[in-house]
Amino acid sequence: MSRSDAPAGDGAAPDGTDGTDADGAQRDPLVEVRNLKKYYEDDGFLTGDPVKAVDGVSFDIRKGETLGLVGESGCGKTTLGRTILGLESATDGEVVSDGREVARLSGKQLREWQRDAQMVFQDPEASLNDRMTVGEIIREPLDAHEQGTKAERKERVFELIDLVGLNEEHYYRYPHQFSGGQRQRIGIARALALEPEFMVLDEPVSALDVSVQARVINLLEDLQDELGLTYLFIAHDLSVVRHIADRVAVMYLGDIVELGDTEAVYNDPAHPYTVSLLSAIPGSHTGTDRDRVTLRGTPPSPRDPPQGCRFATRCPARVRPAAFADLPETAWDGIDALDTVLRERASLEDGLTDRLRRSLGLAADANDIDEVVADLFGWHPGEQSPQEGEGPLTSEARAAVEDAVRFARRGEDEEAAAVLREAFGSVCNRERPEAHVVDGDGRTSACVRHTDEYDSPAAAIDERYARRDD
Amino acid sequence: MAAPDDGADGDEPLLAVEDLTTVFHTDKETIRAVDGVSFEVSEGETVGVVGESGSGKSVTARSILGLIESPGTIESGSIRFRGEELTGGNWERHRGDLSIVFQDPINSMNPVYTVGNQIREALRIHQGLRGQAAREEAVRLLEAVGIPDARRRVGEYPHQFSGGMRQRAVIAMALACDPDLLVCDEPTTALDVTIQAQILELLDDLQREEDLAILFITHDMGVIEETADRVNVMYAGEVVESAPVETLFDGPAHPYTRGLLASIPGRTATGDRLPTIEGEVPTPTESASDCRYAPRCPDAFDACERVHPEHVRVGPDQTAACLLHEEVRPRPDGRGDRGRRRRRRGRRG
Ligand code: SF4
Ligand code: SF4
Repeated sequence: MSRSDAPAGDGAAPDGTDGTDADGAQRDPLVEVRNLKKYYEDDGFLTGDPVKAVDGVSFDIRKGETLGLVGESGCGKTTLGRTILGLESATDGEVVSDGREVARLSGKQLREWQRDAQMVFQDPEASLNDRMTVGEIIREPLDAHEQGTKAERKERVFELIDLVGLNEEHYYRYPHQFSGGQRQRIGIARALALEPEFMVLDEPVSALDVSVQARVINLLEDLQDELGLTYLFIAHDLSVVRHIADRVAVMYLGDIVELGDTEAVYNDPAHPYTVSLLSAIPGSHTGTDRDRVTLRGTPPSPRDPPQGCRFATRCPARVRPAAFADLPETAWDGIDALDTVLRERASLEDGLTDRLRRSLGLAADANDIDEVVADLFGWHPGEQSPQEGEGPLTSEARAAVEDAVRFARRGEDEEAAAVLREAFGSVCNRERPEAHVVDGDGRTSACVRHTDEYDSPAAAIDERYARRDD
Repeated sequence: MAAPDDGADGDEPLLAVEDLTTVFHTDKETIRAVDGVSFEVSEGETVGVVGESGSGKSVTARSILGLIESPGTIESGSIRFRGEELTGGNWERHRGDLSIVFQDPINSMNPVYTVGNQIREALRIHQGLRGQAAREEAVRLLEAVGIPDARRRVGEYPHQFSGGMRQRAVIAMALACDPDLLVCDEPTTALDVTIQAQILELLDDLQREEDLAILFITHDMGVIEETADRVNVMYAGEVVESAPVETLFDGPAHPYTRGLLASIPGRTATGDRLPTIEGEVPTPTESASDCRYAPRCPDAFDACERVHPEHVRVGPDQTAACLLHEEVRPRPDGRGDRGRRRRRRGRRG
């Protein structure tokens, strides 16, 4: 279901929320994704851990809906789209559509699925062969699947050209003669050639200027209405997704952390990552009146995702151990920053000079961890034992930091990080949170704070910001 | 927010761009990428230049930095820094005073030198720092741009930095020149939104701490709204509207600005179709004898194809280059009279 131009008598959601309640609750899933995983192994050389691009996600894509898929680069959203289409083989889990288990299809059945499900790419330039005319490009899938006679195929191409708002004479031109918006129309026409029922749109408007982007978005909405298409719309632009998607799934580091009706999610995000992500949209038109929650750092590597909750290293609502309930926010800033430093040091491959130094027995800069601690907490662990009340840490907290520092001084960064997390970690660092249903429409959010035991994410974030302001 | 200098007291603003025209010669034609652009940047102020691709915004930035290379050339106009003319080859003397941060940080760094090396090089050239002093300052700069573990990371290579960290390092390099004006050309466009928020926050802090003036070039209206004190909207080589940021968003006066704002998803109720601007941005090859927006403008009338609109004052601190706002114009059939338009807009502005 698309929002625009709902046909008369369609009984669109009377409350205007345009959620799934009008007809969506009964709407059948077109694609069921179950515990899907996609890992990439290294190419033999340096056999480390695999990259866990998609790490066990489950959701439905409903017939006729637009499901938005948002997240930052490296979160796995494109891999997820490609794996659903069978363009990548799944490491584990299932993608089921119409009784077919897509991830296991081969031969004729795979070809059938790849006819019913199509992909539109971000970069129309890279995906269009510049040596073929527009007509040939759009006709190629028809030729490959041997649809109809030659004349029929040609006629079909003209239909498609018209459908996406290009002109007949464009048939004989080459892609480079077109603007970005027109090239994207060519890509869409090609994807529509085999009359798919499902399309994965991977950042289809990201490379376009806003005024052009608006026209392509309108076209996609019109096509959906006309042809009854189902979309998985992948984008990093949160405003575009808000406009086009009926439901939205938010991805972080290979995991879907929240999934629900678009308006509900945007108006009242449940998961701490969604809260932070939406608050980062620049400008005043974003519709959230929350204060900005600035995340520190960058997402960890999908090769070495944090244990427990994937978001724990950056989460503004991470549960803290009761023993340290009284630490001020500045202390937590320091602890979190130290954790990031240790993690990064542990994951960085040693540079040549580092290795050389070590082989020469020169741990020349190992002691600079003391400087990091001095910067973060205002006390130099190597030099003096601090007075009670000096710096933001309590004496127990300081003892824990000192434990970690001892490892870091010897260059054992991984152990240092583990020691730090042992002291300051919590359920968030130990258990992978399950998805909880958080509203009446079946929205899910994967965070321990949706259980009775803890304050809600929003309450926790607000409380911490308030403490900071005091 | 600094008040823009109106020049009344004779004080020169930090940067004054006047009637800047930068052209690119090709075999077939001369592309007027920047065509008669004027604006000023005062000390401590952030001035935004916003436009779509082909608007000339990046060429404007490069022109100001003296980075235009053949087949491009600054054909006419003036760029004054603290009152001193830069065009005609005077950039060398102000090399460190103006710094630029580009969209893609990896191209701004040399992959074979450590990040610290590159910052120290800038410190040596622009501030005469060497040895231990340069090393300490490099660490301080990396810390200032929010790079954790700066002491260690100063010895790493650009490829060991993530995208966001790299852009921070580039900003640190730009700051090593101790600039008065930082030109940011789409500095966050390649970054994820949470990282973008960090960088925008950083620029904001730096501006306050180091009293920097920033010229911020972007296609993103949301970013402009967040960063700029004053905005110049560019279209096909020209500035078509200039206003303080709130004024521009509350009451855009130029039809292009209005169309652009309306076509951004999120500014329109979600159930509605997005308003669009038909047609494409033209590539200007002749000096303008008409309004370049006329073929796409929903408000166009006959004079728009004959007269090149000059900037007129449409509010206390707002100008637009559109004939709707001219003092005199032929009254097109079926359109409201100019007086009414002006009164309405006057209230808004
Ligand atoms: S489980 Fe913990 S770390 Fe993860 S999002 Fe919830 S509060 Fe944050
Ligand atoms: S001058 Fe005419 S064509 Fe140009 S923007 Fe104004 S009304 Fe539109």
